[in-house]
Amino acid sequence: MKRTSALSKLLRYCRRHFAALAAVIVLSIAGVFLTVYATTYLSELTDYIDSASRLAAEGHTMSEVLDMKHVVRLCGTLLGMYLGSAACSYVQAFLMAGVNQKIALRLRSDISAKVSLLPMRYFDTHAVGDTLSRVTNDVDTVAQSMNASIATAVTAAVQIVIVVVMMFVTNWAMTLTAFATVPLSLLVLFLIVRMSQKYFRAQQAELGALNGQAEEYYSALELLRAANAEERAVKTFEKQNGKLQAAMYRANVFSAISHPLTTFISKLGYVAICVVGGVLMAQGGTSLGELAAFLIYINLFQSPLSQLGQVAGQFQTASAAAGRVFEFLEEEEEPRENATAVIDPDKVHGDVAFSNVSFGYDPAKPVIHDFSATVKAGQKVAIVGPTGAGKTTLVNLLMRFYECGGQISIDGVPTKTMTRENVRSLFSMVLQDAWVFEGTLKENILYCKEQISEEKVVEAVRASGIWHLVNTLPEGGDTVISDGMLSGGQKQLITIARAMVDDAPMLILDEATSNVDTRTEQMIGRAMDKLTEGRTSFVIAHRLSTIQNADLILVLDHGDIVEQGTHEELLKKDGFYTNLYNAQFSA
Amino acid sequence: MIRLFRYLRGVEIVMFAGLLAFLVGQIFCDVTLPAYTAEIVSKMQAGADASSILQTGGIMLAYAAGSVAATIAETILSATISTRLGRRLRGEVFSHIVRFSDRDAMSFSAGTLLTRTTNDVQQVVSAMVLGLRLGVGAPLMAGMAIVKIAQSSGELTLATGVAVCILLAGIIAIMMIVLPRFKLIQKLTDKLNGTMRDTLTGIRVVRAYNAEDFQKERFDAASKEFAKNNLFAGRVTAAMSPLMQLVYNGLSLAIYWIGCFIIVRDNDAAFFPTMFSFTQLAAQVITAFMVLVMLFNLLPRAQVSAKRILEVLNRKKDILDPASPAEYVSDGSIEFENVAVGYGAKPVLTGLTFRVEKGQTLAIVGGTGAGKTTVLKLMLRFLDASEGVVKMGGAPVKDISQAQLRASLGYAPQRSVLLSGTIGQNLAFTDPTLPATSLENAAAIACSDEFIAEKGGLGARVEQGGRNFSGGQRQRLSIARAIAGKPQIALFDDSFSALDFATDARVRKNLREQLPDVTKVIVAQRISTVRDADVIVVLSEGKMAGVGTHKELLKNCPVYREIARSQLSEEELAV
Repeated sequence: MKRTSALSKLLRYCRRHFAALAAVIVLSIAGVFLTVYATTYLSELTDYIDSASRLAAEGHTMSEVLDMKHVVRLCGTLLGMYLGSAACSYVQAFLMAGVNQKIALRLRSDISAKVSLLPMRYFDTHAVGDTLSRVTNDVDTVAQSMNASIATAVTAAVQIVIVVVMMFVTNWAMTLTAFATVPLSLLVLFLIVRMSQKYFRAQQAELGALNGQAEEYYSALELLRAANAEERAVKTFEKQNGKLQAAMYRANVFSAISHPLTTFISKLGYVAICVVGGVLMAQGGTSLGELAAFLIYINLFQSPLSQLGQVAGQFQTASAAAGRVFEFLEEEEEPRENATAVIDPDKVHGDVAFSNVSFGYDPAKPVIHDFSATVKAGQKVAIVGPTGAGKTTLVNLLMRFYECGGQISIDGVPTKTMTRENVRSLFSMVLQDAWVFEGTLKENILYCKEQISEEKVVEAVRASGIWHLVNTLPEGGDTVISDGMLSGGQKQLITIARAMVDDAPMLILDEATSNVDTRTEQMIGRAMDKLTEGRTSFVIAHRLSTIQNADLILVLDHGDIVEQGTHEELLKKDGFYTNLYNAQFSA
Repeated sequence: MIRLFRYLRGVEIVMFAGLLAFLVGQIFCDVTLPAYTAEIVSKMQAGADASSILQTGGIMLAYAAGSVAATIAETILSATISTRLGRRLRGEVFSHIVRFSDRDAMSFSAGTLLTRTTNDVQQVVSAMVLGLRLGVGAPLMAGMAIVKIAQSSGELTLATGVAVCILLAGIIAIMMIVLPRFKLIQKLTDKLNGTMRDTLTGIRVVRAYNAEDFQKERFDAASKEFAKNNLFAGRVTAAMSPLMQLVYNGLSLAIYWIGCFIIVRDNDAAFFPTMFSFTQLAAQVITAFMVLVMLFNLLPRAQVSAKRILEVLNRKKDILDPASPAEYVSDGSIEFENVAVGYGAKPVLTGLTFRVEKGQTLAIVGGTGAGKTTVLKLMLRFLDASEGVVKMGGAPVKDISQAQLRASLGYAPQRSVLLSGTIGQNLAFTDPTLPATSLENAAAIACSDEFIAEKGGLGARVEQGGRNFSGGQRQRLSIARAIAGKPQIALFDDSFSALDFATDARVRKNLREQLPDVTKVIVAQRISTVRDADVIVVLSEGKMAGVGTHKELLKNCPVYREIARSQLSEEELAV
């Protein structure tokens, strides 16, 4: 059921290429028809030569009875038909390539549009590799084999029909002889396809297991070495390797064996035709030309049959891929917004209020229970707490990556009544996982902002401390950077520069610096301090100075604000915060 | 690729010889068959009776059966050879990779290692076996068929030759146009993937900056470029199959036409059946050449794969055990005497001199790229010093076997990798025979006992990559794993970074109190983590900038002071 639905959805994509597809079908029918119909001329030619040689047997010389002009005329007609057929099939394939690529392009475009519409939850619960392979491999498979297999199936079916009709028209007795072997051929094909499918699945499963194993070990090479565990790893791998070998052997043999078997069966049919044809000819029931034609017809009949067999296999992979693509395209999107309020980023004050906020990624397991706090414009809020206390969750809610219970409001306006875009335009954000994309350094800093003055960029570059980096890169700001090229610290600084250029009135900062050395950390710290100046900032704090200088510290534990206040106030309370704080220095 | 043939074993070479023998038999049957078609045609012309025709038909069937039997035998043999060879190569590649030295592992990315182990091996093996089978079979087929044709007519041989030339010229032309595009398409595929990967990995940033459209435009631009080039390549290669069909049909026509010409010229009506069967021989010649073309298509790709496999197999080991390793009993001390390391000519780290005794804690601090991890690698002998002597447990590391050295060390790498299996299997990774009590004890020291109990004890599942554990939990399990085997010396590479301050402090306290005899080496960023170490080594810009205790370094090491000032308050600095 799923397969047919994937197909019908794909057909929807085909609709706008109706004209091209209709032309493809007409052309392939025309091409097939020309090829098949040419056989009758070939048969005529054969009969002509045959009758001439019979006359020669009665004492004429061949030059008297075989008119070369007639032969050339027939050959010329045939050549014309073959050329026509080749032209038809080329134009058909040419058009099909266009349709394929256009559909693939649209699928990809739809997918990339879909990425913008999916809720954050989707990305948090699906592996990047999975989505990525839908966008590229699966779309390619759909575009390449789905359409090709549909086209081949149509052509093959048409060819079978035309050939069968021509055969019956030519000679029904020989037609029945030819078909006698068809059921056998089909049966063999069917059995082998079914068997080999089973073995192929087994092979894929074993291969997947082996890949998983190898991948895991390769990610832990250091560990293997340190633990003297290389031998053990090889032993485990060899066990799976052996299983894979056995599965591959079976799959290989079974898939390869179908070809010789069907070839043999077609030869069986061939001999049967020769024998029956010979007998009929003796009784005057057929001619040599007809026999020649039949030998070609058998080929023209068999080849689309085996094509159909191949297409069936292709079609299965393609429809599985299409299923995955459409599954992605049909994921539930973020609900449409009907915003009733707008805050102009240029006029926002930056008062933020959380009132009775509650939230859980899984509604049954609330992470944040009942959280209220008021932040005044320009204040610096430090969020502290042990790992898993819900610090990141708070950011998720503030940015409306997820929707929460209760209410978060900015300048008294509930964020729920604004568009997500509006909410996000009020914040700049610097996350722990410093993200740069493959593009020039300048593109990475400017990001999607246009019309930023050169001075402002230079200022941000200087303030964030990457001036040196820019100058050491081979092409300065126009150097294309990629993930592996830069250190964690450098990437972090670039994201800070990006936030500075963005210059939003409020700020979200994650200070975590786990992969950054202390001196770079210091630079980052300075840059971050500069960034927070004059903005309402929410800082997931890891630096002492941040905590000490914060206007408000929110202490989170198990999703609840257990304490809030300034550093001094909280120390006086001698509660959770004091413990947390002392833990750092008690050792 | 030829070099990979040395991985064939004796049995397989015999199988190959058998395969080739069957191949010759099969081709002989295939090429002989058309002659009997000719015989049937001439019998029909002569009005022979059914039994006579049936007799020839029987011979035809026998040849067909012979061909099929031979093909099936070939199939089984080639499947046997290729799967055996495939398994052997995969095993070789894998065992080379897991024995890679640090330097080798660094020079390949994890992704390509995996491709080399499975896809590349598959590509190469099927190309090798197919290549031998078809590379021998196709020319043989074409040759034998052409000989059959040439036996009766030079003109028809010429016609066949011309057809083959046209076909080859056409295919070569198509290839020349398309191949550069294919290379470009490969690059564009990477770009397309890269752009989408960027969007997906940075989805939070993308949304925070309202940059959805910006990302989409980038992707769509790459996508259009990709489609454009694919379209071009697709439209050119579309000519391949009509061309093939046309050449085959054209050749059949030419045979009829030239055949008639010969019949008239020689006044030889008996040539007709022969000519009739030649269309089939011609088809065999054309098919053989198509197969060769396909093979040439396959080879360059396999060549690339073969090269990638050989890169792995031909790595020379750079860290070797001494010829006669000294007996090794660790005394728990660590000593570096003026150690320097260089990758190539340029030293990355020089002037390391320090010593710690059994049970002491050595801390290493310094900037990213200062060489902290390199120091640990020297201790593990993942790397060799270019100058000076590294002594572990009292013995120079170059004088003892790597296995013995590493058995005396516990190591928690910077990336806390867990392997799929159970928690217990992970903790007992250094030695699967460790009793549960040791594991539980180690887990308790690393403050992991609570969450392990929550997950269901030592038998609880660890998913691939430890996905079902948080970063801090993974780090703690990694610490527990390093100490579970009761090593003399335990090395922790930035193993406390994902822990909150309280847990960090508790784990270190446990290590100190419960493993007093274990020498501990701690690489860290936080001053609070290292401040009470017995010896702190400060690295800066490839040199040892200072060595001593927290107090000493605060007094006389400017680099350390700077680091400390960024993390501690004034009062704490004064202490």
